[in-house]
Amino acid sequence: MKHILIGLKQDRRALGLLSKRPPSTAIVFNHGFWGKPRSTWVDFVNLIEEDERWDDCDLFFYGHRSNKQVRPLADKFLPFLTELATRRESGVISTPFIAPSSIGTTLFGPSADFWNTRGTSPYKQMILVAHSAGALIIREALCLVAGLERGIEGSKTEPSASDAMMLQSIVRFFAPAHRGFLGAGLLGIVKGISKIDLVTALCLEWNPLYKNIEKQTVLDDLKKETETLWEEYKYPALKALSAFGSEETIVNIGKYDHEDKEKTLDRQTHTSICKPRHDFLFPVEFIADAS
Amino acid sequence: MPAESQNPNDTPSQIEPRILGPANLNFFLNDRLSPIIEEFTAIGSYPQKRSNFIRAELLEWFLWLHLGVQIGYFPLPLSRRAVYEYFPMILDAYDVISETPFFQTAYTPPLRTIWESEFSGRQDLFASARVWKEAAPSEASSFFQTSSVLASEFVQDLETRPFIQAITLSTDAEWEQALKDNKSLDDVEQNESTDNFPDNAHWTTPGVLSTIDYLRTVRQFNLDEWERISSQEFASFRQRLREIQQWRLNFANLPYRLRFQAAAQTVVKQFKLIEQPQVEQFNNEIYDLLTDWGAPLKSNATSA
Repeated sequence: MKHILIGLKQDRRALGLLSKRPPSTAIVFNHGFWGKPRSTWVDFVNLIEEDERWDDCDLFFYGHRSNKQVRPLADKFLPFLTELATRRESGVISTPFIAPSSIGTTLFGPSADFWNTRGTSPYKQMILVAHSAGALIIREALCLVAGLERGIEGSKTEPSASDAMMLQSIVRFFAPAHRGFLGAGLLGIVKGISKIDLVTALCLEWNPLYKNIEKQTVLDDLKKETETLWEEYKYPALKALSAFGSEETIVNIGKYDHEDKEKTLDRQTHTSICKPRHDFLFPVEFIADAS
Repeated sequence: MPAESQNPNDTPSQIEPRILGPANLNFFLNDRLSPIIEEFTAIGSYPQKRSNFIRAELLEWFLWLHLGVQIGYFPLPLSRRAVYEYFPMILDAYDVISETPFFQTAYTPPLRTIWESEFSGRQDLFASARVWKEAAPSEASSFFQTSSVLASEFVQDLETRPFIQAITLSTDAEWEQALKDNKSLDDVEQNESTDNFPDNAHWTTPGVLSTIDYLRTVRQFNLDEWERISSQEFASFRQRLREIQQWRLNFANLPYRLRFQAAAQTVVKQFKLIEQPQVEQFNNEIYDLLTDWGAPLKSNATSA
């Protein structure tokens, strides 16, 4: 295996995969509604090992719990990104396990060889990946960063090095919720959906974040803000590429006006589109092709 | 954060085992053992059901470690060291759980044999119940790793734990009362408040949905891997992985299965929108998932 597993401080369920080589790229994955950082992205952990394009990439499967608004989730996400852009993995990973008899020494951590081989050079680029509502959190976070560069009274200021790296990120979305949910709300998707998915979708109607997003204003504001900032600065991170399954039943398929046409994949659903398998390597390719 | 100093004469082949095995173990200890140990220290102040649940989690942890060592995913000496650090807790957990009726229904004979043999003190730790006589293939480590990280995510889900504790350890009367009164048992972990569900949602809702989600994810992952690897040893290995988790997903056991199905019914009935034919389809889809974890195929289910 070319990567090692590591825990992340920000959420016990979150996960990192650190390359054994000096890493050049940080790829951050952000799940959606009720999603989880591991099961949403199964089985990236194994399948990237079979593709050398990922050898010098570190992967971070970020975790968040539902909240009533997108903004607080973006506010929590942003320091995580900033830390990666500034100090690489050192500020976000969990400390080694300490056994009771050996407090002060790290019996169980990766060896010094591992850390020495990786070096300390900062990442050269970041790739931000999201599923479903996770895309809104990334969009909001990037608008916050790009908005800061406007400075006071519209006078443009030069972004800090970490902000510049974030704004230069490549962004890839799987079934993003950025164009809202299907027309007649969830009542409109009763037919043609597995009944387990139906119950899950109906539970979604209870979710305050969903209720908040369902009011199209939030989505419209985010779209307008992103498009305005793009028009002004052309930061690459403000232009995402999205992919949807042809069997999408939860969100509207679509993109922002300035973005390239979204991809659609046959026989994939809202949840399957982001899960690579040996006979469906699109999710791995979609990200690897970006770098 | 160096754990040991580098020898400038080391070759990559000497370095490699020193990196991966300890790193795997470090992650596993942080990910899976740390939360259990934190809880274990509070066992004296917990009610019996919650305490026993934590003890069962510690025994499960040992089985994951045991299997991981056998396939070469974890390094043997460091894994032994990790067990020795917590041996009193592990033996306490075994002593208590092995005296409960739960022990006979929740664990298969092969698992009970592993504990008996490993805790007997008559052989080196991790010497029993090898799946592969020779070195395990690398696919076993990949499969183990993904299975482990998914399982850990499921078992540590704060919204799911009260449901799993109740369905696993309550008496029939307690369970029926909890379902009917829409009130979780007093002596299990209480759900931390989240914004995911309204207060009037039945308390089993997050647990049922999360369990279904886990069953589906594991099925998809297994199908993908199983199509590639079909040796007898690999089948035994997958079987062991399932058995290790089966005490909390005991769908081979009829009373447990009926509890889960009753909870699923309660969840689906909250939605007036769903009509009877769709309820039946929902039940069938769920039952199909339960068959991966020991529920008999539908034609045999009534006689199980």
